[in-house]
Amino acid sequence: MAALIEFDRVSQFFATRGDAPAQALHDVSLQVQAGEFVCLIGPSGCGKTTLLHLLAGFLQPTEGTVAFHGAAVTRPGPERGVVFQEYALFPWMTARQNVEFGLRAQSVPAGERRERALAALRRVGLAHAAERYPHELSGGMRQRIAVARSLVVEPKVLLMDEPFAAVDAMTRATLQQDLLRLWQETGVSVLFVTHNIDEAIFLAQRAVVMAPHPGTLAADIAIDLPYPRQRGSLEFARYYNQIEAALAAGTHRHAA
Amino acid sequence: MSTLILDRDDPAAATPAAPGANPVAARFQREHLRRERARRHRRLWLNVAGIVLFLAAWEAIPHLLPWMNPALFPPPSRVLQAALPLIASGELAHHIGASLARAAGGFSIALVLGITAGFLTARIETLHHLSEPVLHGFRSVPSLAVVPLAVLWFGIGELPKVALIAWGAFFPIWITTFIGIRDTHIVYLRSAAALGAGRVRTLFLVILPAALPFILAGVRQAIAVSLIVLVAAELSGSTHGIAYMMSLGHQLFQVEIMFIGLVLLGAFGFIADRLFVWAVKRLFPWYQSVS
Repeated sequence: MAALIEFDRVSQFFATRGDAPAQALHDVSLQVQAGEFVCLIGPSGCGKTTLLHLLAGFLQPTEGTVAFHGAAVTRPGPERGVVFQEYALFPWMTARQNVEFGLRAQSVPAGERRERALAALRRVGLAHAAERYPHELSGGMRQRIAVARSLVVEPKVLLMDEPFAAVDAMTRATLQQDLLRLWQETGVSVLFVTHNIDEAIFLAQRAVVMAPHPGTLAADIAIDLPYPRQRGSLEFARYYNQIEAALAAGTHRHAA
Repeated sequence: MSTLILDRDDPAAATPAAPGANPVAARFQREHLRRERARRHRRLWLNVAGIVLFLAAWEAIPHLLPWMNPALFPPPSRVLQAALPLIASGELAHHIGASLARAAGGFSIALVLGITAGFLTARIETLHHLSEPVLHGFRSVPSLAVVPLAVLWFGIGELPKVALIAWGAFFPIWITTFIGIRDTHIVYLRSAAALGAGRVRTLFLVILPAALPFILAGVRQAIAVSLIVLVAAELSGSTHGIAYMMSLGHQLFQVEIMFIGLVLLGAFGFIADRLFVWAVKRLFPWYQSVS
């Protein structure tokens, strides 16, 4: 079976103010199957966000191809939901109106729209906040609503760019558990960018380790542990060491 | 349940209490509403007291300073005396109506054209670069400088006045709309695109609301500009209107009439600004920073 997501020998350049362009990705090839939960992990400058934006359709690759469902990605679309780090909810809409946005884009009638939005909010435990504006909600609540807004249009993949980086550690742990529950309930694929090793092992079936300058794949580590994962377990620590070593090797390669 | 662990320190994250069920919550809510009401009343009373104090001082000045000629600096009582027959005859209402119609007409045209031009120049780069030198050049010309030309072209009817006001009010709206739309946060645009929104929905549901704080700042300035240009346009030749009335008072050496005009113009500016703030609060409850 063909992979749901296929990066084939992708290189990406960005224009800079100087004479030479900056290279964000070099010759990256990666496949993700339907329903898979994959974390992209690496230090800043390793191109993990660029990879995500290419699949989202915000960028076009300088070299190589990015395919989704066998077709080249040319623009953003609702089958590829995106959850940003923060501040992506529309502040002029209530939580419910934010969640309804994608349905509005599909011209779903108002009554059904409202019902589906409320169901999505219930799913993330925020039905009571439906009529509140983002500025009246905490960072954790806003990210839950951002997840609900992406999931309500039933995407095939959820692209998450360090979505829990800006919330405190306790809220973050809760959000991670909720994300796993939603992933298991909906069967959506998740491509999750993080620079947090613990987060990657807690969430992902595969941790794709990236190295910087320019961004390349350093290692692809399958995390073969049953959910829910125990942070205190020996296996957890073993994966931690393995990923840490891969990250260090990638950075070392650059320094050498 | 896991979803109930929230950030304790953030009031936005707190669990909403039902005042119906909880007596402490009910009392707190009552107290809060009472304090809010008291604050609003206090503000209103102070506003009124400010006006009264001002009028009292104005009334007292000619009495306290005997060398001051009350014919040149009439106290409010004399101004009111001069205003009463004008009010009774309906002449004052006629002048007010004429002026307000001109200001509102010119401002409305500026609002539509300014937002449209701001949007088009911000979204279509070719158009922006094409219009940049000319629009910014015109923007630097004070609208008062155009008054004689407008009279020459359009005579002294309604058209030149409305056109002049539209001209003056157009630029602040255009420039702020342009900036607001150009600077729409990329994450909003990407969110809209990733959720499958087309051009029209993105414009009305995302771009315009995102630019709204900027647009409103321009609109507020345009309201003030409308009144300034109104006076200049009416002074340059008209048969009715507040500034016409004032120039008539000047020619007849009735300083009271000129003062009536000044008070009216001040009141218009204040009321228009309050209406603006009120409308913004009603229409855009998510937008907080207007006072």
